[in-house]
Amino acid sequence: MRLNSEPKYNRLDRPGHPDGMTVPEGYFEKFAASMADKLPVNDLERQPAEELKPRSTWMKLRPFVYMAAMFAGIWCTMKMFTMLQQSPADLSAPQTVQTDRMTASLSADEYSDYLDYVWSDYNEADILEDLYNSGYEPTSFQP
Amino acid sequence: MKSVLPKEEPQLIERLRDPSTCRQAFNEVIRLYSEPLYWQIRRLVNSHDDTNDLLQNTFLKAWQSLDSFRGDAKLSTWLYKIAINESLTFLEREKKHSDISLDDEASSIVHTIEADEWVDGDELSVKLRKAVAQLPEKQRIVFNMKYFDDMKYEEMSEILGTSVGALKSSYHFAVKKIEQYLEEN
Repeated sequence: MRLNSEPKYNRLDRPGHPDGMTVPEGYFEKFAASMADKLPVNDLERQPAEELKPRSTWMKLRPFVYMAAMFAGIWCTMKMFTMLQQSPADLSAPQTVQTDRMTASLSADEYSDYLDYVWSDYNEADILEDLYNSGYEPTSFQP
Repeated sequence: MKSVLPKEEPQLIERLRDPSTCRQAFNEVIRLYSEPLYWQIRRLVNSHDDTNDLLQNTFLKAWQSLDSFRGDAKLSTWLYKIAINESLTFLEREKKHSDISLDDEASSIVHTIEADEWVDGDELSVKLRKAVAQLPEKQRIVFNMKYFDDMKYEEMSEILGTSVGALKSSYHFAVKKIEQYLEEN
């Protein structure tokens, strides 16, 4: 025996009388009515009740606090940018001071002091040797 | 015949998601889908009383998880999924409770069919139900969906989470087994 290739009954949304099974008279109408009575309050229905709760002071103030925080943030950001723009000039100032100091230290008086310091290593033996080489006689020396 | 038309379904889903209209819309869903879901469950569990309980559980679960239904799938697909899961859980529980082996499962279903008082006198129909009872659980579900409900393989795939190829193969084997059973009996 072969099964008919065509489905015996209709589709899900158009159910026909199925394979020899029956139900009590008016079962589906009674079922729909009794099922409607059995439905408890679900999460979706609870939502409006939660929304109707009185608003606390914080909830009322919250938008203004958030807005103030936002403006403070913007002000801080702008301030930071301003400071960053000024910074290169500030950083160059100490360099100028350093350059000035170097120039001052190399000025005439201080430079001669420096030379004196270098020449202080030139000892007495070296001076005498220079004098001998230039034809100086120690006996002719009169203090 | 009551049914929800494809163009009406988005409006019904919208009403289901609105807290102020969801109860009224869900009552409409019960009126529309209790009959097709009843037959799908009945073919799996066979007894009218068990089907009645499972149908109630199906709608209760759907109602409780209504806020999680996003409308991505068809309403019927979502309800079918819940109904089949409820039925399979019930059958599993029954199997554990009565501690029957796989071989005895078919004879247990046949016994339920014979004991069912809500049947008409069509002998061939009862024979077909007994033949379907011989099938493994998955093949039985696939056969019921395809043969009795003429459901598309794509929709079945969405409900059962199985590939279309595997479903076609299951249906093919189910038909062969039923034909063999009817020839032998």
